[in-house]
Amino acid sequence: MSRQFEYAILALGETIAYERRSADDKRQALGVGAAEFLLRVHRQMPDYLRPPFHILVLLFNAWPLIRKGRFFYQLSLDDRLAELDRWRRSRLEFRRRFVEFHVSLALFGIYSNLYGQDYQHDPVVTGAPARL
Amino acid sequence: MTLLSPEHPLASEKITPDVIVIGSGPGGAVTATQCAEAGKSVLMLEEGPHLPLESAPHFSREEILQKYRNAGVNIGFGAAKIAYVEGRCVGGGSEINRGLYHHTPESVLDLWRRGYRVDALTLDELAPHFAACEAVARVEYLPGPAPQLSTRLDEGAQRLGWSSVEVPRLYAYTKDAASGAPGRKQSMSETFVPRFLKAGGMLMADTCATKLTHSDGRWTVHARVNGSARPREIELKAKTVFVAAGAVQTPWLLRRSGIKRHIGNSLRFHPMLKVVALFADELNTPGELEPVHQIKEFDPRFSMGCSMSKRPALALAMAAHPEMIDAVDRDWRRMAIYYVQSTGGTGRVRSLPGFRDPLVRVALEPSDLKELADGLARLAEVLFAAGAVAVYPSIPGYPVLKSLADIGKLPETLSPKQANATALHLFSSCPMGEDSDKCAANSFGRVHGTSNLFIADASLLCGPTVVNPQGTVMAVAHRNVMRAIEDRAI
Ligand SMILES: Cc1cc2nc3c(=O)[nH]c(=O)nc-3n(C[C@H](O)[C@H](O)[C@H](O)COP(=O)(O)OP(=O)(O)OC[C@H]3O[C@@H](n4cnc5c(N)ncnc54)[C@H](O)[C@@H]3O)c2cc1C
Repeated sequence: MSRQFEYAILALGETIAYERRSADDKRQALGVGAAEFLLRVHRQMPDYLRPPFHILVLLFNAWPLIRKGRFFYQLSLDDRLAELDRWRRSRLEFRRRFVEFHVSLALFGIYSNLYGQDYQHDPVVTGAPARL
Repeated sequence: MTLLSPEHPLASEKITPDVIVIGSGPGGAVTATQCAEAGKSVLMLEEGPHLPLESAPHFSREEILQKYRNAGVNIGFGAAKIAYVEGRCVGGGSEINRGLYHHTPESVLDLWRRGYRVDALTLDELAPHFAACEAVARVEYLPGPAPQLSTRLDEGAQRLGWSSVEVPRLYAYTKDAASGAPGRKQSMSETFVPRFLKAGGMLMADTCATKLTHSDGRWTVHARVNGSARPREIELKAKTVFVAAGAVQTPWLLRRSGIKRHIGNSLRFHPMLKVVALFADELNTPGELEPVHQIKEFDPRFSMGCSMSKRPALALAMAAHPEMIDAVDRDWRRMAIYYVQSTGGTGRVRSLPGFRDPLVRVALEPSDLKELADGLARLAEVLFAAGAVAVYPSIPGYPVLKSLADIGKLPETLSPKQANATALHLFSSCPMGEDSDKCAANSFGRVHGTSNLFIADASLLCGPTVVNPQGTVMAVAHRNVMRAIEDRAI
């Protein structure tokens, strides 16, 4: 994975964490956690999907060069949010899908960090063997 | 008990078992255990790691990274794409699923027998095999009342006069309420795999079979050992091989090995759509048991149920309505995820030169998409009958439904581009039966035109099971391996 790719995913994770809530002092850490999860997913996805996804991330990162002269990860947070929104509302399907894919996974990562305790169980007594 | 791992590199090459089983999911684990208990020397290969049940909480981020193939990112390509999920660890899908358990409906077996000429596959003939598997992996009803998110669905169904059932699970609820745990899931790593090891079976985790070749009456399994050390290639020999790598990976492996007749051409699945329902009162609490009710009114067209609805899952399901994400933080106790799943759609599995992961292409016909759209409308109907105040389809661009009347706003059919369907149940990629025009293996799983090569997983099932499939996968695997042992075919 290239440096640019990692910077872009980190910026994406942070942006999604900020977008989720207007005020939350954990956002920075949540963003890093979300980005780490996204990187793991990219690493583990089917091997023939990795190169096209890699290119898509680089494309997403480079897109703001046209309007702003900077890569996505170099933009201010507000500009990043606006850029994410432009992709979300784009008429091009691949841009919308790109955002859907990354936002849904990042949210899953963020909520896993926030609410890991949801997975704890209360004890219950034994069940009846099923009569099928 | 023998547990081989890639950390013992020399040992693995030296062993010459009677039988090699590729894959340790429900099909492979049942098959390997029966062979080992029949006195055969058996080596079971598993591509994924050997992890304890509690290495990660169910449906958590950690579980997805540890136990799901490709971190859960698998796409069936086509006009309407399908995202599908498979387990990749010792125990396969049984480690990550909810273990909702059914016997195969008689009508499904009838279809398979007639359509594929499968011998000896009535429900009566399968019954002893279900019983044998249930003696090892316990199947139980909840000891007390089901969680509210589950009973709500049941109440909605009752109000509409629809048939709804509580489904038992592959689960042993704890006797010791003070232990702090709800019991043990009866996954393969908890049940058949320990039994297999106790019978002298050998297990090699982190080992991916990449090709099969046959010469001098023996099979050679070419495999790549991943583990912690550097990956290395090995060759293992045995007279008999059972391929039980699951409905996508089994055809991938066989096709790579040049075995292609009716292999990977007829993948089937249960396409599934999800919604988040918002209720007026709280019904979702942390630590709740898994929901267990299913609506069977429309079987075999489609069935409905409730999914695990913890906050991370809710956030994922609500991603299609980004404006509602904050509501998950606020109202999650009033939210739950429900699904409808049908039986339509077909697929093909192909291996791509130079790549490990198979390419899956899927086709959903207009009638399949219409069926799913009807199912979605019915699901919304039952949720409003259950007291929902809003229903959010997990389909980008779909309207939020606030009342029964809003159901009329749903498109008549799903557009292929929007569909956003997923599939957890995959089968039929190498169907069994005597009809040589469409079957990959005979009625008991032996691959047509080969000797001592068997398929032993969900690939063999001739079509959708309509109900949750693991019970059928296990019973059919048990039936087939018992026949092979009786016939002294192994
Ligand atoms: C999230 C989820 C929820 C589900 N819920 C339910 C439920 O509630 N009830 C139910 O009945 N069913 C459920 N299912 C379906 C059920 O888990 C499957 O039907 C069942 O696991 C299929 O068993 P199998 O033996 O065919 O394959 P699998 O379980 O897929 O096992 C195949 C194994 O082979 C291994 N393998 C693959 N390729 C290779 C290779 N080349 N070399 C070595 N090893 C290899 C894999 O890593 C895997 O461990 C669910 C499935 C999922 C994914």
